[in-house]
Amino acid sequence: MRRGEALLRLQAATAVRVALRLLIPAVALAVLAIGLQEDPARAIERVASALAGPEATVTAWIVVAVAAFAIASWADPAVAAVEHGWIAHLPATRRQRRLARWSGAWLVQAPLVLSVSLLVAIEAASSGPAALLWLPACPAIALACAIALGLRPHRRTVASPPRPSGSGFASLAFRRTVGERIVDAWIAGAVPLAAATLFLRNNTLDAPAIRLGATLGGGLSAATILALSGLALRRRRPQWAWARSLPVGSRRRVREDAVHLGLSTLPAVIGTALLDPASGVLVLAVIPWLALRTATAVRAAVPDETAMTVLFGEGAAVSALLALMPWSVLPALAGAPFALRVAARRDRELKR
Amino acid sequence: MTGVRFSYRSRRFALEVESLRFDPGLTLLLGDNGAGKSTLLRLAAGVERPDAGSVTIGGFDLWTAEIEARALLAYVPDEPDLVPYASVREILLLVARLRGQAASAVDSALDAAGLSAIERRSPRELSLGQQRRVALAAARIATPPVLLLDDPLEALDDGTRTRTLSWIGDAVESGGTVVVSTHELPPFSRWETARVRLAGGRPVA
Repeated sequence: MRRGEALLRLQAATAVRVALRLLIPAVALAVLAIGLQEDPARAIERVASALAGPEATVTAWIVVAVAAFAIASWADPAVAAVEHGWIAHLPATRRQRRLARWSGAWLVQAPLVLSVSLLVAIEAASSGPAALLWLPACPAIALACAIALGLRPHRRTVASPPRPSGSGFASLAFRRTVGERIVDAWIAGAVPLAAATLFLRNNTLDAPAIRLGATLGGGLSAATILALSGLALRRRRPQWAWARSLPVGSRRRVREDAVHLGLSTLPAVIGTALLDPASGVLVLAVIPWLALRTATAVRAAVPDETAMTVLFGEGAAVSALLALMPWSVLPALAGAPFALRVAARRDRELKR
Repeated sequence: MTGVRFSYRSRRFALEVESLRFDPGLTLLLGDNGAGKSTLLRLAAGVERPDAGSVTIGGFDLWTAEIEARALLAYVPDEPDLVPYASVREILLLVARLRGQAASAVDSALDAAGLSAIERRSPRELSLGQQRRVALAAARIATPPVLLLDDPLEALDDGTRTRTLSWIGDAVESGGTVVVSTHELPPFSRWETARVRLAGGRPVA
């Protein structure tokens, strides 16, 4: 087998896995977005028409290009491994490695290319074969993005641990630990909020019922985001022994975790506020409690899944309580210092 | 290596080597942390390209006769950056194909490194020690005459350490050129033929 072909085969296997990782949340989002429309079939036709109809818009293709570039950027670390790093010492030329990288980066965009091609085909079926002239546009855009990213100069990096520098270090550590996983958490968190949106849009409800639905959906959304972010923290920063050796108290470590976890739930709070502003305020008020409980669960001496399932159950219960009895936000707020104390104690106990 | 200069971004030269040659046998690469040992091995393996100068393996320049030079070497880094979404078997299969070996060489390497049970896992699912075993298994495929090993015993269990040392010994005794960067001298003293000490990115006497 030729060397270039061997590299391409490995890269194809890699790219398919990366594409599948993208495909599942993308399909879920697309189904949700279409499902939220009053007439889903008409919505699909409108998008198809904007892409390839007689009045196709530049904006629609800019959106496609932005999506293609975002996917290429997201997948780049995974597909670039075939060009730089350890693989580079194997007997293949730079040209062969670069071609494999471009191919992988292009293949990763298959879900986008197929989706857009399907929309173009739908438009061709309704308005005529002239729409098919747009068919090569998406693969070409995807290829351009893959090549553009692959042409960036290789970053030489020297492995060094992050340096502690006050609260900036906590942010850096959180960003590196949770990283892109926050997007997965947001996507999962969007599900209860979308369900609440559908419920509120498709029913004629009075104000208390709207508040109940929005608060429950928003609370569950925040609980989902916190459980998944917490899980990432537990798995990727499991012992954190080195951080605990620094001259920083347990309370501060827990508080910093809670602040970052709390900030990660902002999309859920904003989404809830868009449904019902008062519910948004209620969900926001309960975030400190939930974030501190998450910081505690991150340090619990039980298996990862158990800790986060219990945490999600607690978040769901708090959300239900908040939806049924909005005044329960007061004990949640008052209990935040207590939750901080419990979390700090759990952190200290980790040293033993 | 001749006239090699190399720098990471926004740093002074991390490595400056006027002339350095590794002969057959076991050369130990010594130096304090940050002295440039790993950088030197990355340059010698063709993973990084020098800003100036040339690196040749068996008379072939690493950057103008890429395949001929790279076919002669195997490199085991201290932190293997393997392809994250490929399986262990797929990675080793790539190594075998690039070195012109049959797929059966992969099975032998997997067995020798004790990786058969995890051959379908991706590097993302492996511990550092297991990733290093994958890199060591890759180096065993066709065992090229030049081995560049960065802290090869680090993070390995006792059994793998013993097998790795035995493999290094075999490579030295069969006339190979083995360069080992390490802080542990005793395990290698039996085969040691030369030492190169680095300080501040330069070889010192």
